[in-house]
Amino acid sequence: MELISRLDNVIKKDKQLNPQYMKDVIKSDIFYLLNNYFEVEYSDIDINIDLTDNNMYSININAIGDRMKAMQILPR
Amino acid sequence: MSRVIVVTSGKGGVGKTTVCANLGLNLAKKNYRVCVIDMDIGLNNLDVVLGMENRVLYSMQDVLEGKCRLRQALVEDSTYPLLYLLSSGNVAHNLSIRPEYIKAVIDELKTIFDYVLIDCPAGIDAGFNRSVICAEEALVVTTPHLSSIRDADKVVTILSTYNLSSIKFVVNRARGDLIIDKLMLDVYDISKALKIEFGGVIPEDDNVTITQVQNCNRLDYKIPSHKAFLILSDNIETGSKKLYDCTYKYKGVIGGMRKFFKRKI
Repeated sequence: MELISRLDNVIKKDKQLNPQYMKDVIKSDIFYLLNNYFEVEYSDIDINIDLTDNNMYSININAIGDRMKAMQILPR
Repeated sequence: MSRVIVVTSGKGGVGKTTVCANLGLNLAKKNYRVCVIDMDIGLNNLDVVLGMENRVLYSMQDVLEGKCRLRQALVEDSTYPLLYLLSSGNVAHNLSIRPEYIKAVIDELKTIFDYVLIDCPAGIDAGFNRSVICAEEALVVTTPHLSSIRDADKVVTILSTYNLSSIKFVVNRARGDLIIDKLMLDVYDISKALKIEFGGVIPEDDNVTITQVQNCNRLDYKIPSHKAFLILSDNIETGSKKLYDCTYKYKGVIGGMRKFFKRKI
């Protein structure tokens, strides 16, 4: 049991690294996507990546949009 | 339909080359045409493990430099004529070898062989990329030790960014006497941690070292590691999930005594 919990901790610790670069890349992609549908500011997008107890990533994206774009101008 | 499988690990010394060689031998015994490629350029050992070191004339580098044709660089195994080795050069100036050149060689090998097994170098640098980029499936070799499993987990993370259809792991050097007493992780614990399927488990076995000292890689049919390698090749061939039981020798009264003496002596 001790071995399993040590292994679990080691892997969890490695995954807990939360690279800012990765967040920035995701943020710019999300900004590009949302900008097709809403008027959003880059600074109004917030991304959080956390590790759950079973070593899975929980990815939370919060964004505030000013107004929705008219459907006629939506990209195909 | 040819299959290209890279045997990798991340950590060095876990038995990639041994697994690659024995998997190749067992698939060749099943009448498949198999080519094993040593991609550890500069630190090549697959020829030694297969007992073919005196028969290698040309390497992959010679093929890439146009010094010979691909078929001239392939070394046929003396016992199993369906097994071939493509050795890498033992010169360390490998920086100029680009992955697309190697991919072209492997594409040609795919037209000749049923299985192309790539022995990947340790680490996750250019040599790793060169090996994995050419493969369609990956077999991650790990020992049951924390340091090795940790590296395997990192490798699996990197492998998931490549276009691979399957990633499985093999536990090498498993010790049944320690697993039975929960002093070593078993294949199910490791599978749970790595979140990938197992391909097989190979027990710790002195015979693997002895056969290499004797300059032959022909494991005796009776020894445990031979049986384990057979099961591994079955799993790779058919996709089955059979497992060699490393602990069977240490179960019961006689097994308990065997375990006691193994630890004390």
